Amino acid sequence: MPKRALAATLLTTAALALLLSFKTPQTAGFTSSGGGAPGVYGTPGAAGTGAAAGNRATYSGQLTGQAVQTPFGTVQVQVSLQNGKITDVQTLQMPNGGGHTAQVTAYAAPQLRSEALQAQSAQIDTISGATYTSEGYIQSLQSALDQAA
Amino acid sequence: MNATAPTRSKVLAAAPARKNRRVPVPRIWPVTANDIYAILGGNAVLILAMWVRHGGINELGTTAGIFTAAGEISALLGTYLILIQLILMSRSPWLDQVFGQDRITDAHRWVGFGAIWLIVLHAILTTVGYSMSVGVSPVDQFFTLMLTYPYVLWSAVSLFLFIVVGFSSVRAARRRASYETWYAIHLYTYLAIALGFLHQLFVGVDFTTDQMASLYWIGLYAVAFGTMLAFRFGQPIAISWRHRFHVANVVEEAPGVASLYLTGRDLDQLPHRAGQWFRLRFLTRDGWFRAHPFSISAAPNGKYLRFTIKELGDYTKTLGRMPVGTPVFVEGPYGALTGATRTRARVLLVAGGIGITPLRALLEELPSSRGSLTLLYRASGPEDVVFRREIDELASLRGATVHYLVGRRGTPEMPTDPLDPRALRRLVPDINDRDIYVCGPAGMMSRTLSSLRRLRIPDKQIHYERFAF
Repeated sequence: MPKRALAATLLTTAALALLLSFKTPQTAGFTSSGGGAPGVYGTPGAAGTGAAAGNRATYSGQLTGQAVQTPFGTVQVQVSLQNGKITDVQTLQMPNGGGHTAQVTAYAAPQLRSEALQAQSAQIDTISGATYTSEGYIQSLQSALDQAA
Repeated sequence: MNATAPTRSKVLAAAPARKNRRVPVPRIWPVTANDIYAILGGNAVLILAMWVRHGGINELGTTAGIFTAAGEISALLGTYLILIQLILMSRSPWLDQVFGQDRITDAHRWVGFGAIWLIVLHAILTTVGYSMSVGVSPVDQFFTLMLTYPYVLWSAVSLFLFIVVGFSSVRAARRRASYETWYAIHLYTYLAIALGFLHQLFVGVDFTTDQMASLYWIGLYAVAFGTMLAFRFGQPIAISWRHRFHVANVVEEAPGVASLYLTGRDLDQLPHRAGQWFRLRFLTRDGWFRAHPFSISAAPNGKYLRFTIKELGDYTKTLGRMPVGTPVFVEGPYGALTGATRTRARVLLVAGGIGITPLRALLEELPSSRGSLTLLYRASGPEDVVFRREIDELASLRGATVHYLVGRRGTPEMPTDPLDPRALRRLVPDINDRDIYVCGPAGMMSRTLSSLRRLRIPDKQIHYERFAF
């Protein structure tokens, strides 16, 4: 018995060492698709002061939306406008913790972007399974667009 | 037993007089079964409330959400059951006092299978739920989980270990493998618990989004492991160190039955009662790693602990040859088969075979006035009756009545079961007005207990503890 116990202990320790050496790849890359430094908390109005009210139709440039807190993390987007047309939406911050949150973000963000491009507004549907993230995205996008209004 | 071992009469001559210094009784813990159920139920409610607070109900709107939600609940409850398992196996005297070790072991078996099923369910439901929520196949989702989710690969190994432990405990497997193998496999549950822990905190939606919930969860682990450390390790180390137990004598009682006498320091300060049992770990080269439970077969006397052992397995055969002076690591005392739970003045003891050991101690310790103490001693042959001389001596000294019921059932001298309701009533006419203590092999125990129920004896008057003989 002690000999077999020793063998089992050694084998278990070796297998355990192997297992513990496995590092979960960093889930980065889900965070942002744009170059904007995360943590830049855009204050609505700051970027669009030059543009007078009612100028949304002609605004060109980039606007940073509010950083919106959700239970799973912060959502913040940056919208690019060309003569009042939405040409791109980039995410500056997205929830990416806890495995599934990151996976859901990676799944939802491109869909939300294409919805916004299609709708040309923040009036878009939430993605099922990513309700909080979608709501945060919509809110941040709306606050960015409001700066051009 | 070797030729130089002292003879039985020498031991009795050396044994102290019947009147001894009083040995302290184990403390009575102010806990009832209802308290324990309330605490367990309360935490279960708290865990479910935590799930609701974190939006569990909102998830139920989609099919993916329903799978994910069910996966969360099964994970939370399965893990909770695992933590309860640690407490059940902590050998806590307060649990032992309330339920007795045999019922705790029964519960451990079913709670364990329940926990493993829930965790298996969690793995399946969560994989399917997650895969539906992001529109990939469950197989792709499985690989994503293994390779990109924090600590989920560890938890998969944990699940695998739990399943192995579960299979090793299924009755068919239990019968085939040795106790040692089964026990060694069971030790892997500690590893499984450790490997599963981190993915709960890093992936579990209840914990990634709520620090209070994480602290509560860690607290549950701390309580479970703390209880286990205190009572499974701390208490035995403390009493073994304090009392320095060692083998003082080995005496053959009958063919294949030996009594081991242990002595040590300050045994008159070791709290224990007649009817209780200890786990003994003989510190020899090939014995230190296994602990075996044995009842004391003499009432607490402050001088020695006597254990009477029938040679059944490979290991118990070696005990009869244990050298005097062998140090012993002692865990205990355990067992609720004691005078502490007595409700009536009169008592009936029903022993079967080697199950006499704890009842022999009770016969010595329970208060007796003429006619208030009766022993029925069932054995399949005269050679299976141990302590006959001691029992007769004790009986006449204490005014107790003893009936030896010796013979095989179904043979001419014993055509009917001497422990059926009618026979019991004839032997002990006032049986309904007595507390009844039963100990013996499994079949004899269950026949006796069903006889007692048919005699309509209230449960609180019936005391028993099943031992694996």
